[in-house]
Amino acid sequence: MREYLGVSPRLGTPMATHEFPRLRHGLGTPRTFAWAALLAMPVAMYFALAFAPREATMGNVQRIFYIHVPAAWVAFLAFFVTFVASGVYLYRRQERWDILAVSSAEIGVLFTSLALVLGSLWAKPVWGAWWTWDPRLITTLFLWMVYVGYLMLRSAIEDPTQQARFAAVFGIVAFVDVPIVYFSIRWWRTIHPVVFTGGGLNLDTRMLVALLVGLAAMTFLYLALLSLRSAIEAVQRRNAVLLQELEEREEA
Amino acid sequence: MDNLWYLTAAFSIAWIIILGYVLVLARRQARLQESTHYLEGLIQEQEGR
Repeated sequence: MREYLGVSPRLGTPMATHEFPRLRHGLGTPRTFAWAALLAMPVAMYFALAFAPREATMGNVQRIFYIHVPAAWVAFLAFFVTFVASGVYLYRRQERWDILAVSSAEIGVLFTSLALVLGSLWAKPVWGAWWTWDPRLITTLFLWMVYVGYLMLRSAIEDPTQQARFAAVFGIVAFVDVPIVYFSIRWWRTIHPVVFTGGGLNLDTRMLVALLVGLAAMTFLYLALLSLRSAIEAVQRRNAVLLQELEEREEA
Repeated sequence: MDNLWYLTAAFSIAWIIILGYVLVLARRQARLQESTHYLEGLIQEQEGR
């Protein structure tokens, strides 16, 4: 990516030279986060599969928890970043915030899908069904659909400024579902396990350590994907603007 | 260890989803590289006139 990003300074436009370097410095390089994620992931797998004790009732299937919860955490974090970036975009109208919002939303959809799939894989042997119409599951599925809608809305609007403005409003409103997902197991009757209770964490110490390592590793992976996805989006937009300018110059 | 095959399958599916997305990003990056080379060619062509 570095070689690509450093490509010909002549290709620079006011958007590219002004926006892109600041975006890069703000997020760190994709390579730094990629290395952090690559180092953290095997450690997280060791803690999930070997360090954490075998759960007495569910057996080894419970270990899915150490990747399911971090996936859900990253999804929430990604949608929060979209929420903040959307708000800042509406306030400042700087393109880099829109780039950050769309990149984070796409990764949020990926990790929500992962949380849903892993939850389903855990539920089959434990609940005896791949899916049940439980409040936590319904609100999570709704969250996934809302952000898929966000991405579809973006692709449906051609004018870039209008697209960014509408998406920013959508990105702010859509975030309302995140606390609903989180509190659904407290507000409504549910069969979903409650780990984070009002009285603290409902976990064995070694299980908690494995969970925290998993959360850290998945956060590094999110940052690596976000910085790479944002960089791609920035160059994609710069190329689109350049192509338009070159075509206009050709016609003149 | 009980259900070990099932656990392996679950973790494998998770990694396939993540690696699939990384591959999608890699393909997008490769396409962008092509379009940048194309744009560089266009600029050189216009400057040469």
